[in-house]
Order: sequence, then C-alpha cells, then structure tokens
Amino acid sequence: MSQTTRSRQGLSPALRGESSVPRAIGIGLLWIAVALGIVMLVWILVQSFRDTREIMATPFGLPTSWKLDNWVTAWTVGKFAEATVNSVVTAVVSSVLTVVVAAPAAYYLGRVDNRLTRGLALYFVLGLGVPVQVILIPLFVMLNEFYLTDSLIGLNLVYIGVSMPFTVFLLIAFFRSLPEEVEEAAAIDGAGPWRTMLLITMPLAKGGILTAFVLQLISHWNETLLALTLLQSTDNYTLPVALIGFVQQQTYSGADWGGLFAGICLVVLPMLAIYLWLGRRLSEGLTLGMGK
Amino acid sequence: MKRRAALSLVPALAGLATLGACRSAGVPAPGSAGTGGEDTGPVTYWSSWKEGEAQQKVLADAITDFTAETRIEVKVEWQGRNVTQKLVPALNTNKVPDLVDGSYGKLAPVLAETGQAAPVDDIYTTEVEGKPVAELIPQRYQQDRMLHEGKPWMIPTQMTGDAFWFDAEAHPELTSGAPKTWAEFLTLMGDLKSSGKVPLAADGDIAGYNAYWFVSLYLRLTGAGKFYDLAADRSGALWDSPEALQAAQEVEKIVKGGYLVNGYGASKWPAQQQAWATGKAELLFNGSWIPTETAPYATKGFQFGSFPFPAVTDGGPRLARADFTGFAIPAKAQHKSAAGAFATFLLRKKYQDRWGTEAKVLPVREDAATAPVLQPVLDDLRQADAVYQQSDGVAFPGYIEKVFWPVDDELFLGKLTANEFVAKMKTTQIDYWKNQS
Amino acid sequence: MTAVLPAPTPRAGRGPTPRAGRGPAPRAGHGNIIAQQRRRLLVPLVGPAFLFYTVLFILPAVAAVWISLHKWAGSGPMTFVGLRNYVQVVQDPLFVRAFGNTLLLLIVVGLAIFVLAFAMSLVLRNMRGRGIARSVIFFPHLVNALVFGTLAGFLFNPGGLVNALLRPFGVTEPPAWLAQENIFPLIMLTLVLVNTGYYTTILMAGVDRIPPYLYEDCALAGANAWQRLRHLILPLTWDVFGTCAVLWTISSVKIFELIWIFGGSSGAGIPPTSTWTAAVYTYVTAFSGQSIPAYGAATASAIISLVLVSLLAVLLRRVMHREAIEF
Repeated sequence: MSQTTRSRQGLSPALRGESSVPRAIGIGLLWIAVALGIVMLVWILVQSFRDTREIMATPFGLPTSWKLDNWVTAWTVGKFAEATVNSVVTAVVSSVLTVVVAAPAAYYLGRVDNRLTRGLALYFVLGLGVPVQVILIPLFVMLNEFYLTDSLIGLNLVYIGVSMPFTVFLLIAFFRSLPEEVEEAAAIDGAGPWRTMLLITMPLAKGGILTAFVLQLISHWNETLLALTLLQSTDNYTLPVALIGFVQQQTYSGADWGGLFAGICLVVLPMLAIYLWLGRRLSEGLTLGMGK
Repeated sequence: MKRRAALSLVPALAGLATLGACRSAGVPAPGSAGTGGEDTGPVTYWSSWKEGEAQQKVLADAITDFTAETRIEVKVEWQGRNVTQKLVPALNTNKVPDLVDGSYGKLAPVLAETGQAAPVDDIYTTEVEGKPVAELIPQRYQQDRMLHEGKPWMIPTQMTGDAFWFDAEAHPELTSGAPKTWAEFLTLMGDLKSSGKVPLAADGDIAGYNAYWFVSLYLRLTGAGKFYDLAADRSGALWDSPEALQAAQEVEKIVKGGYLVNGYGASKWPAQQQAWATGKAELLFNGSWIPTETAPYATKGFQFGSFPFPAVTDGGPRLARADFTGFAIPAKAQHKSAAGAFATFLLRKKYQDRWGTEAKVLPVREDAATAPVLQPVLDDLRQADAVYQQSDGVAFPGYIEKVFWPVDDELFLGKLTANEFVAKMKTTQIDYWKNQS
Repeated sequence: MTAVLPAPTPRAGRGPTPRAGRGPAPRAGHGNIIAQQRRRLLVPLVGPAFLFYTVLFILPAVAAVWISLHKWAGSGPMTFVGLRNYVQVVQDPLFVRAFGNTLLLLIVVGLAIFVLAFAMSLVLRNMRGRGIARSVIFFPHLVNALVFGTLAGFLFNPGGLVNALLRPFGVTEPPAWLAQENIFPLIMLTLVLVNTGYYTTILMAGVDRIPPYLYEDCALAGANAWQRLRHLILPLTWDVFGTCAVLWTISSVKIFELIWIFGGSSGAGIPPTSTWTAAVYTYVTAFSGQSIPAYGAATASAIISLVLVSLLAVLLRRVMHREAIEF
C-alpha cells in the first residue's frame, strides 16, 4: 500500500519493487526463514521452563507450570551470575578501549599517505589471518611474567591487542571515505590538528566508530578460547567458559536438557536485548563503514 | 617490645629458610607424615569435577574436614574436564596449582611425559590410618609403564573399569547366567535380536568408546600390554598377525550382525546412552561410570546390572580394564607436601567408602565399601590375572586421535571389512612412524 | 578512470565520497598545512595501537614461529628440529585433507553465502518490513557456537526433533543427519545460516547506495531485470563485494569453535577426521588431551595454512580489484 502511495508521488517504475514471480518467491522464502528463526528462539525459551523427562517425551509440549527451577539452577549451579557480570564488564571495557586506541591510529593511517603509513597499515592487516591457537601458549607465558594470568585485566588487554587488526582495518576504510573538505576548512580557520580530529572528524565518524564498537562487543562477548585458557579461577569465568562448564555438568550428571536450555537463554538473551536496542545503528554503521 | 618482635622473627625466618630449602630440593619437608609438617599450605587445587557432581560433594566435605584437622587451607577451583587444557600453559610458568586430579590417561601425556610431575615415591611411604600408602594401592593395578623414571607420580584414589550394562529388571537371566565366553556372547546377541529387541546401544560419535571393542578383543587374544606393542611397531608387521585379524573380525561380526541400535553412527552423545537407559536397547558396553551418569534419566525402576567382557580364548589369563583416577602434583608446585597430605587424606576409609557408596565409583582401597551395583565390576577386577588401561598406555603424539581412532571408527561404523581394516592400519601406522622419525 | 556517468551532485559531507583507487585525493595548496601538522602526530595517534598490537599479538606470533622449529610438548624440554615439523605436517595426509576441507569451506560456503546474500539484498530492496527481516537473519551471527552445537544434537539425533517432525509426513527412514560423512555438509549449512545475514547487511549497503536516477536511466534505456543486474548493479557494488570476499577468506580459515562443538558432542569428544579443517588440525595437535601434545607441529600447521591463505587472499584481491567507479 505504501508503495502505490509512493508511486503516486512520482517514484519511477524502475524503482518500485516489480511484482515479478521470482521476486515474490524470494520474498516468500525470506519470510519463511525469518519465521523459522523466531520460532526457534521462542521454542528454546519455552523449553527452558520444562523438565528433562518432559522435553524428551514431548518436545513440542508446553510447560505444565512456569517454574523457574531450571533458570535458578543455571544461575547458581552454573555460576552464571558472576560470569554474566564478568562478561558484561569485560566486553564493554575492552570494546571501548579497543575503539579508543584504534580510531586515532586508523585516522592517521587513513589520512596520511606515505610509505611508512602504507607499511604500518599492512602490518596491522597482517594480523587478520593469524588464528588464536597459534599465539595462545606464548601469550600465556608472557602474561604470567606480569602476573596477568587469571585476571580479567589481563584478558581485557589481550582482547584489545587481538582486536587491533580488524578494528584498524575497518576504521581505515571508514576514515578514508570521509570528505577532507571539512577538515581543510577547519584548518583554514586556524584549528590545530588535535582540535580538528577531536571536534570535527570524530563526530563525523560516529557511525563507523559505533559499528566497530558493537562488532567488538559481540565478538568479545562470545570469545571462548582465550578466556578458557587465560582464566583459572571460577570466579573470573566469563559467560562462554561458564557455559562450557555448565554443559559438562549437565551431561556428565545426567543430561538436564531443561537446565541446558535455560543456560543457553541466559547467554543468548542479553545479545538479543543489545541487538534489538542497537541493531539498527549496527546495520547502518556497518554499511557505512563497509560501503567503501 | 622491639626485641621480642625481633626474636619472633627468628622462627619465622627459620621456617622460611626450610621451606626455601625444601623447594629447591624438590622433596617434601621431612616430618610431613600426613599432617603437613612445616608446609602449611595453602594448597591450590584444580579439580576435574564440577560442582554438583556426586564426586565433588565427597571432595568438598573432605576439604572441610582436612582444613579442620590440619589447619591447612585448600583453595579449590572446580574447573571441570578441561582442567588439563588449562594446566598445560600454566606449566611453563611458576603459577602452577599444587594439586590436580584426573584420570591417568589425561594426566600422563601432559604431566608425566613432559617431566612436569613431581615424583611421589616419598608420599607413598607416608601412612594413612596406620598403613603406608603403597599398601593401600593394590600392586596389581600398577604397571612399570606407569612410572616416570622409575618413580610413581600419581596418587590414585579411584579406579574405573568397564562392563556390559543392562537392566536387571528386564533381564534377570543375565544377572545369574551372564555369558562367560565370546561365543556365548554372540549367541546372546542373536537371541536378543530374534526376539525383536535391540541388543546393543552405542554412541558411535565417541571414538574412544568405539575403540573399546577392538582393544578389548585384541588384548584378550594376545595379553596385556600387547596393544602397546602393536602400536609401537614401526614396521607395522604385527597388524598381519592372525590375532589382529581375528579381533577385527569379531568386531565386524557385531557390526554386520545388525545387533547395534539403528542410527548409532549418526547420533550425538549421549543420545544412544539415553536411549539405552530408557529401554530402547538392551546392553551397553561402557565404563563403570554408567550408573552415575545415566541414573538421572533412566526409566523409573531401572536396575543396573552388569557382566564383564567375556573371555575370547579358552584358558589363558583373565584380563580386566583398570584405569586410575587420582591426584598429581606438578613439579613446580610450591606446597608439595601439603598437597600430598591432602591427596592421601582422601585415602582414608571414610571418603573411600563415601565415594564407593554415594558417588558410585570404584575406590582404590580394597577394603572400602562399594555400591552393590558396582560389585560385579569390582569382582572382575579382583579376579583378573592381568589388567590393562583404556588404550593400553599408548600415548605417542597424535597416534590415538589421528591414526587409530579414525580407522577404528570406519571399522566400527561398518565402512571397512576386517581385512581392509588391518591393511589400512598397517599402512597408516607405517606412514605415522616414518613421519615421526 | 571514471565511468561515463553523470557527475555527482556535491554532498554535504555525509556518507562516503567515492574515489578512484586508494589513498587520499590530491590536495589544493591550503591542505598542506593540516597535512604537515597531522604528520607530526604519528606517535601519539598510532603509538598505543601499535604497542598493544605488537606486544600482545605480534610478539607471541613470533614466539610461535620459534616454537614451530622445535619439538615441544607444551612444557618441559624443547628440542630444536629445524624445518622437520613443516615437512611432517605437509606429508601428513590428515593435514592435506583438513586443508582441503578448509578450501571447501572457503569456496563452497563462500559462494553460497554470497549468492544468497546478494539475492537477499536485492529482494530486501524496497521491501516492506525489511528492517525486521534483516535483523532476524543477522541474529544467528551473534550466537555462541556452543549453542548451535548443543542444539544440533537435540535436533538431529535419530530420535530427535527433526525426525519427529518428519514422521507425520511419512518419512520413516530419515537420512542419517549426524553420520560422520554428513556432519561436514551440516556444518557448512550452519555456517551459511550464521554468516549470510552478516554479509547481506554489508552488501545491502552497496546496493542501497546506487542512486535512484541510475535505475531510471536503465528503465528509460529499456533494460530488463537481468541486464540491469549485469550492467548496473554488479559493477557498482563490485568493490564492496571484493572487501567481503577478502574478509570471508580470512575469517573462514579461522573457523574453529563451531566445528569443534558441532562434530565433537559439545566438547565431550573429538570431531571425526572427515570434518577437520586446518584450524581443527592445529588445535587437536596441540590440545587433544589424548596423547602427548606436539606444539611445534601445531604451530607449524597454523603457519602453513596462514601462508597459503594469505596467498589466496592476495590473489583474490588482485582478481577482484577494479578501479572504483565514481558516481
């Protein structure tokens, strides 16, 4: 309906979604995929309120009573309470710091073009291909020299270091796409480089920076291998590590599917919340940054 | 005032000096006989159990009792089964835990083989409730191969064995008349199948479980320690032996006979285990942890019965699988004697009994109580002439998971015949050893 | 190097300004002031990032190369063996097969993702409710791999949900979803699911940036849908495509958690060797827990796959690189 309204306002025929058959099929399939995704999520949520034997017997049934037992189990036995706090703090702090450290560097490397900056940019991008398993053990030994193993501070530092390649890569492309004219205008007006950067360029780059922040937030939230190796005390566990332990607990002492689903929900729902809140910004920012 | 303060420093300094001397000497301080002596801990203990598991509850109580008695604090982290993975990087540093637990098969490759485990032969001489530790650990389960440079490095507290498990409610005839030979076993399979039941359950995605079959058969045909020889043979010639072929053929009979549950090769653990516990299959060949692991979802009224792996040849030694689970102390640990004291604390009858009866595991002490459900496994272990470990002690880098398990899976999942299996094992093994040298 | 298209209207400084090639545009005279001042800021601006990255990433990587020249079990004595580990890894048929799987993942899944993402970005154009649809298909990317692994068992077991759903349709002998030979295709399917939304979002940016009047020009010129695709949409989104292709190449090689969890019973066992990729091979060699670890060989295998994939990425970039079209 809105399309016909718009067409009445003069949108050319070339732009209206033609109601061709392939397109209709495409739209149909897309909505089926979307529906399946939503159903899956809802199903996990519903099952987390049921007992293991019930789930195994009637997978599609509804809970008889909406008891929170499974959730309590996951929260306490699985130590999801501490793990959630740790995950939130770690993800937020490390993502903020990653962006704070990477943005100026990307700004410089994106704006100044000489052999050195080209070399440095390549240096950063090189790290994109290195898988984490390779550096795990040397990293641990090094951190231990500084008493930073089994500490969330150490984990944060590692996350920042490991996120540099992707963030710098993303932001360089983004900064390169910003117009120079505004900065040059500011220079003519007498603003120094620091002021230009902080007061003019950075606000312009808000979209890209926000994108980088959210992407790092997601990746740090779900990061498992480094957290598993670098954290020893169960009090310091982040959510993925707690989830692994929880899965083990449940399967070795009798697969408690209900508890497992509750644990899964605890890990997935915060992501969902953040996503619903920031999602549009994320997609917009991502497209802005990657559009170059 | 100052003088007294200064004087009080002297014993403290002396204590420190002794500790320092002990650390550099690498042996526990003398007089630590079971009570910790000068070593007052605290003991950092990384456990392979998670909270809520039956074994963990016993350990937690033991920790409280130990601290009450010796005033040595035990800082425990219930890390779960990934504990060895966490341990390896830590072994490069000085920040190692004082105590680690796990099964022999998991601890040996990372601690013993790398020389990172402290020898515990002196702990073996300490006494627990009047008896030296060495006496409490039955000699028959120990093999020379388990020593590192001639000394023990592990303080075992539990054992694991394996057996064929079934529901005694549904099969009272198996409780009294279990098959004693392989031939009888095959007959049983046939009978169960023709009466419309599914004879065997198996989680085909766990390569370790699949490998039990071939190893158990081969060892019973050749003798304990012979699978190790088979794997260590660089020429691969032993794979041409009639015993290897026969063992493979027997596995093939199980696979081709249609005795295994439908879909065993296309499921994820613990699905088939759960199917067995809910009555969809009759027998399960698995470890002695099955009652503990499956009880929460077994059908109501399920009675765990078991019988040992039958003999394959007439006469000859009777074999049983016996794996240790217990404690190890990293070489760089700073509170070795306190750790050793705690480890041996768990050898007290009280905790061994609780492990046996509450957690339903096999305690290492012969005089400890065990749950009746584990009695057949225990009898089997006691009556065996020789014992073997799960992979017969094979730990060559990458051999089990890259050479043996993949090919054995193909045999067990029906993709290879027995002849093809031994041929493929031979060539793969020859390539492996060539690559290693 | 610009295509023959109408010149762009001046913009108010929002959104990307397309340029030919890479690097900043040539400046007028007054730009040099700011350029000079900026150059002095190298150390404070780039310094922290450089420090973090070098200390926490490059140094361990260099140490890893050092390790790859030794035989080492993760702790204890290290014996120097030179390039033996590399020879060993390259000769190991398992590694060759694992690398083959990696390439399979890279190419087959990559193609599937891009075709689907491209198709979706076209369908989503001017579609009602596109925001919701885009959000939902993006979401799987945010979910921890462990979740998929746990669900996989529940869904695809012989007695699991999928088979239960198929039974009313008369399917009594459902395919063996989780048989060893089928797990890798299932993993590939899951990867398509997880990543399509992500790349759709990116591609939509490229597609959406095409100004409306170009479509009008096309319609006026009498182009049909297929011609429009070939001559308008594809060329103008090619650089976004190229970036995505490189991104996917690099990240697909590192995919590990999903395969490990999916094929390995949520961490309880090791996935079957038919599903191994290079990343899994590295991990098993170092951390399998079943036998003595071989860190030297593990890092050697990681470095080999890194080198091979870098070559691929460079080649890809070269192939896909075209002068960006200004519009």
